[in-house]
Parts: sequence; C-alpha cells; structure tokens
Amino acid sequence: MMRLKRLFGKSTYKNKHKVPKGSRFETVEPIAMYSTLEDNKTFIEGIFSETDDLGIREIYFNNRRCFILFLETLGDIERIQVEIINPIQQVQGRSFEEVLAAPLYNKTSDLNKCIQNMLQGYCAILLEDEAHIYLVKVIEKIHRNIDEPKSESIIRGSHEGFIEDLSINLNIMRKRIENPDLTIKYHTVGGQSKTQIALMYMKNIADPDNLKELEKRIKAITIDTIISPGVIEELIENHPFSLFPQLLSTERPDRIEAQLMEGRMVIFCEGSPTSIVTPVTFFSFYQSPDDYNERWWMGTFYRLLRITGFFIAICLPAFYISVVSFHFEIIPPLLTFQVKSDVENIPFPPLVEAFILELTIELIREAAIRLPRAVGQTIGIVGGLVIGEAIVKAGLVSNLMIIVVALTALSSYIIPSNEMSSSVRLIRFPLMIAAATLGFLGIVFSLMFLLIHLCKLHSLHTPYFAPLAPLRIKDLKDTFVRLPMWKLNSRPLDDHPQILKAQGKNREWQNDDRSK
Amino acid sequence: MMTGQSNQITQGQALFLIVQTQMGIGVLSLPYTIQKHAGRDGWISILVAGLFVQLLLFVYYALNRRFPKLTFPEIVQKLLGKYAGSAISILYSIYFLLVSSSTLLSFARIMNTWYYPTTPSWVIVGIVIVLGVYLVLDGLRTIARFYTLISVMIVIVIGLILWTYTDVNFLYLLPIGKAGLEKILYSAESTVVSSLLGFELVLFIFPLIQGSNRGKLKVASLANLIVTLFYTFIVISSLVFFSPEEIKLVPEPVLYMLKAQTTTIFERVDYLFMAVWVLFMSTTYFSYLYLSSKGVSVLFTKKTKNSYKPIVMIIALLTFVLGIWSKNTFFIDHVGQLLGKIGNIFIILIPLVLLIISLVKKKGRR
Repeated sequence: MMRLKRLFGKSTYKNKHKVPKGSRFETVEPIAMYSTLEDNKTFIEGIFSETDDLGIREIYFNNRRCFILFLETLGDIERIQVEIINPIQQVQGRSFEEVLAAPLYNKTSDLNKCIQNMLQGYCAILLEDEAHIYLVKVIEKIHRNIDEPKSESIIRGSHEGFIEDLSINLNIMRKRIENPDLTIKYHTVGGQSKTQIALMYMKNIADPDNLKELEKRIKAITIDTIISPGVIEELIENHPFSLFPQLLSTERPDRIEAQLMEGRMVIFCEGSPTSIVTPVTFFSFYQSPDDYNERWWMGTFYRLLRITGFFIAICLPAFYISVVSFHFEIIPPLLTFQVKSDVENIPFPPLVEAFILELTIELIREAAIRLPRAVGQTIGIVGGLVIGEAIVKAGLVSNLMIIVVALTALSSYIIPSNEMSSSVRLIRFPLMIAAATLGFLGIVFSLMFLLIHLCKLHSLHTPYFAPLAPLRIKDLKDTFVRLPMWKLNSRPLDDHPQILKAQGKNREWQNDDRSK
Repeated sequence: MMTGQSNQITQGQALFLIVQTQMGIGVLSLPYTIQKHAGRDGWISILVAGLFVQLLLFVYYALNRRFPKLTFPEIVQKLLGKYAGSAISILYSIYFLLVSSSTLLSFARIMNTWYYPTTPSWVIVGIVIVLGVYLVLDGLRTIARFYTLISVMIVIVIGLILWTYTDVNFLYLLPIGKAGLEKILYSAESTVVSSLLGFELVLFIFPLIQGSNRGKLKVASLANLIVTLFYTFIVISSLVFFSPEEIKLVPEPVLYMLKAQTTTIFERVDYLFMAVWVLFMSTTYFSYLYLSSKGVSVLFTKKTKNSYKPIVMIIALLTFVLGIWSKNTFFIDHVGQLLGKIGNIFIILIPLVLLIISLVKKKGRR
C-alpha cells in the first residue's frame, strides 16, 4: 500500500470545476471533452470526488503531459505498470498508439463514456493536446473456479457450470458454439448499479420478433439495481401474476447451448451464475441434459416419470383428501378395511391432517437449506424419521397420509428446474382445499382452471403450453418422450425459429450396409 | 370483427371446437330418451339425425361461401339491413344465452342427483361460469387450443365404455327396423334437438377458420361424422347392455352402465367418466357463452373500443341468474323442449331464409 501511495500520490486537489449534482450521471448522453488537459482531469476527479480509490498518475510522454486515471480497487496495478507506464516512459519519439502495449484500447471524446468505462475496470489516459481519451482495459479479475452447479447436478455429461463473472460465462459459451452467428449484445441496466447484462442468441435461428420484443422490455427497465437475474425475470415476464415460471433459469452451459440451438435467447447477468432463457414452454422445465446424455429409452423413461411426477405432485394429496372425505365408495372392498382402520382414529379432518404434514415437509426443506451442510443432513433425519414416526404414534396423522405426502414431496423434487418445482409445490395447496370442499369435482375444476391458464399463457410471443396447446404432433417427439437423436430432425416450432431443419440424415450408412 | 390472421384458428382446431361444442349434456340420457319412441332402433335415428345435420351444414356452407370474409351477424346485416340484421343478431344471442343456461341447469341437476345431493347447485354453476369467463375472455384462439387439448379425453370415454362390452347381448338390437320409419324419424328430430346441437357454431366461426371454403366444409362434416358415430356407439352400447325392459327404468343409462363396472383398484368407474364428462359439459357452455357474447359485441363494437370483454361478463352474469333460477326437474325438461322448438327457427329456418334471400337478391360473391 505504501508503495502505491508513493507511486500515485493521491490527489487532494479540491475540485472547483462545475459538476452538477445528482442527476448528471443518470444520463447516458455524451459529455464533450474540455479543451485543456487540466479541465478534463478535474472533471473526472469531480465525479469521483469523495471516493478514496481513484488513482491518478502524472507522467510525460514525448514531453507532453499525461494523466493516468483509474480505480485502484478495480485495476490490476501490475498490468498498468507493464502495459502502460513502462512503454510510455521508455519508448519516446513514436506516436502514442504505437507505444501502448495493451492488446485492446478504446478512444473516446465522451467524458461520460470514459467514466462508465473506468467503472468497468478501464484505465483512462489523458494526453495533452489530444482530442481523445485513451481507455485501456486493465481489470483485475477475481472469481471462483468453475465447478458443477450444486442445484443442477447430472450423472453423465459436462460438469461445467457458470460462475459469477460475466465474461467468463460468455467465454464458456463461445467455446461451446464456434459460430459467428452466436451473437452477444450488452445492455446496461440498473439506474444506480449499472449492471452489465449480456443478451445471447443465434442470429440465424432466433425469431426477430421475439428478439425485438425482448430488447424492448430490457430497455424499459429502470430499476435501481439488479441484484440477480430474478429481478430481470420479474420485470420482463408476460404474466407477473401467474404461478408458473415463464423464464427458465439455469447454471448449466450445456442446457443453454441446447436452448440457443432451438432459437431461444439467453440473458447473462454480471455477478450471477444464473442465466435466464426466454421464450420457454412449460415442457422446457421438464427437460434435463441427462435425457440426452443417456440412451433414448432411458431419456423417454425419465421424461414420462417426470410428467407422472407432475400429476402426482399436484393431485395426489387432493385425491386422497377427496376420497377419504367424500368418495369412500370408490375404494375397492379389500382395501376399505385397511383405509378405514387407519383413518378412523384421526381426530382431524383430512385437510388439516394433510396441511400439518405438508407444512412439516416445507419446514424441513427450508431449514435444511439455511443450515450448514453438515447440520442439514441431521435436520433431514430428525424431520423425516423422528417427526414422521412420532406424529403417527401420537395419532395426529394417519400412516396413509405420510405415504401420500412423502410421495408428493419426492415427485415435486424430481423436476429438473427449481422454479417449476416450487410452483408445483404451491399449486397443490389450492387443489387440496378444492378437494376438501367439492371432492372430485373440485379437483376436476381446479385442473380445468390450470389447463385454461396454461393455454392462455405466453412467453414473449410463444405459447407457453406448446406443443400441446396449440397442438403440434410433430413436436411431441421431444416432449413426453425423447425420440432417438437421429429422429429429432426439426426444431420445435413454438418459438418460430428461422431455420426449422436441425439435421440431415445421420444414419444413411445403414441403407448402404443393407443393400450389400 | 377481426378476421385477421391473429384471430384465426386452424382447421384441426376448428374440428375439435365443433366436436366439443356438440358433445354435451345430452349424451348421458340420450339412449334413454331415444328409446322412448324409437325403441331398439334408436341408433338408426342418430344416424338419420347426423345425415340431417350434414344437410344443414351444406346450407351453412352455401350461405357462408357467398360472403367468405363476413361473420354471420355481418351477413345478416348485409342481407336484411342494419336494424333487422341487428335485431336478428340479438335474438340469436338471446337464444344462445338460453341454451347455455339450460346446459348449466341440466349439468347442475345431474351433479345433484348423482354425486352431490347436498351441494347447492349455484356453487357448481358458479364455478363453471367463472371458468367460462376466464377462458372466453381470451377469445376464440385460446378456446380452440383448450378444446383441442382436452379432446384426448374422448379416447378415455370410448375406452371406458368398451369395458362394458364384457357382458352385452347384441341380440337386444334385433329385429332391426321394428319401430317403423315414422317413429325413427320422429326420434331423429328430437335427437337433433337434444344432443347434436352445437353444429350451428359453424355458422359463426366459418370465416375465422384458415384454409379454403371446401376445407372448412370438410372439417365441419368430419366433426359431425365423429360426433354422430360417437353417439351411435354410445346408444348401441346402452341398448346392448340393458335389456329392452331394463332401459326404460334408467334415465341416465351411460352412468348406470359404468357404475356396474368394478376393478381391483377403482371401485366406481363412473366417477372417472364423470370427471371427464364435466369437461365436455363445460365446454358446451363455454362455446355458447362465446357465441352469445360475440354476437352482441359485434353490434356494440365501435372502431376504437372493443366491447367484447364487458359483454362476456354481463352475459355470464345473466346465465348465472338463469342458471340458478329453478331446481324443478320438470321445469328444466320443459324449458329444454321449448328451446328445442325455438331452436329449429334459429338453426334451420333463418339460415335457409337468408340463403334464399341472398340467392334471389344475388348478393355476395358468385
């Protein structure tokens, strides 16, 4: 630190330059440079007037005065020394641009842009008698290692996951898709935080209408700060009051790659490993990279299992409640006695019974997340075994109810997307209430409402419940089942990809063999 | 009314739209009502009725073909002038309103007699109406999507009924033609009224279907064929399941049939059937709610303001009031029969007259 102080003696220069208060920095309009070097420096100093981490270094280049300004906390001091200061001091007699050792630099005459860039880790070089400010990227990157996303682990396939650094995430994607059509567009959102987000899509596949709509919505964001992509999600989704998530969030590059190839668009956000995909359909939430990593029989089996899981998760407790409280007659005779003996001594109506257990499970879940990992497991044991065992012995809840609730919980956790899993867990509560008031009719009406709702939803311009509503039989190939890879010849039509064909014939050789 | 691309439905969607509108409450009691007059030849009556509906579809087609871009209320206005046209549109809306209310009444009655004897009918009716408003507000496209989606259930219904074929006696159908032509025709007429109604939807959605006029006619005909065959199947199933004496005692033969079936995991199969049938009954109501609202809203829509949404709410409220009016079974039956008689004017007479007028006046595209 001391060395630094000596090198870049901090300016105590009191700023007399006019800097309008407050609103000045809200604008993105360019601010023209002043004519003298001193004025420009004073202006930038004025903007950063109260912060202590503004580093200023004065040197001479070809006898021209020169200021180097940067934020100490962002810049890599080593790089500033090697790439900027050393060349300037050592090489004389050549033009400035030739001297700079940095691979990338910008030139601007806009003070506003200069300040923006300094905030992104650029170092500004102000040169006497020069109409531009040179901006050199010297950011010091601090990030964690790339590892597998904890919330989306899979068995086979890539164990790479996104991290909090935007440019590394983009780097991962560029490496995966070596195609000039892969487009990245930067946007800065957040009135105060100026968070950088990147919009990524395949220029040749993604639907221009959807893209236009998405960009319009991103530009409309005026919120102060983007803490996480979840904020963006809430600001741009079509139906903010719907229970269903309308943007898919994931930390998996392979998942993103697949989505990009279907013509969807991805938003990455600085400071968050989660990227969000739009437009999506209901069934994208039920697809996992594992479906494609394994052979298609297994992929199909998992898909069907998950869809069954969906129905179990939302219907089973409701079904149980309505059977026990309304429609006892549908239980076949052999089972009647067992159910009856089990349910008979419970003091509560089935709805209360169900709520007690469902709440317990939710409590255990929440507790297990918040606690340190080692303790989390203990909670699972305490909650699952002890409460489960004791609550039956105490006669508060029937054994059957435990089975029902446990099955429901399992079914809701097999969904590969955390958001959808939460939605499904929420949906079953109104269904339970409906079942307790109207029995089967209540369930039927609720499911009907759910279906109508799903038919009404859109994600951008894409119908949410495609390919079921509107029905497109061809696209069912990758919905309830996962046909063999060589059968998935066309992209799903729901998000209007520009190129429908996804592949040619892969197994032509089979015919050749046969003819011989 | 918008006839733009965004509001149009595909032919496949149109098919299910018509099918779902036609399949409704009537089926549950159809075999019973039809055997009253036609006896064991009831299934012939259905086929005859289907044929008759097909003829009507030709009339609708002929009328709509002359005005391919116009919806029915607009056609009426064009042919009869602004005021008479509007009056007829409003009459249609009132008719559809009454049909939808009577659908609700019968729905609530079946629910009350079979499954929920103590639940007040206004609760059931109210929920169906709320669902209807929620769906219908979004317009024809969403309705069509929803109908297409739930049409898968038809397979389940057929599967459930096929189940009963383990103990049937086909001899009950013999001798064929015993009832005589007159009774078969009479029965066919009343069948059209009670069960096949819904095809008049074609009259209204014709310009909203994508594709050529011929394609649209094909779709409507196919829908009619599916429904007619489905009804025939149900009637035959009931007739061969119950003996001729038995069937006179069961007012809802389909439910009784399924009630007799049991499995080791599910004792009462009719519940499963009911769950599916609630969907089909509701869709009929939804369609009529849509038709009723659309007809009126065309009249009130100015260029700047769309009155569709408030009108849906008002109509739904009216159906609620009418739908909880009476719990009297005989009254409901009476209203049903009366509606059937009035219905003939709306589904046969007016379109036919309009067609003749347009032919005489030589209006519309040749």
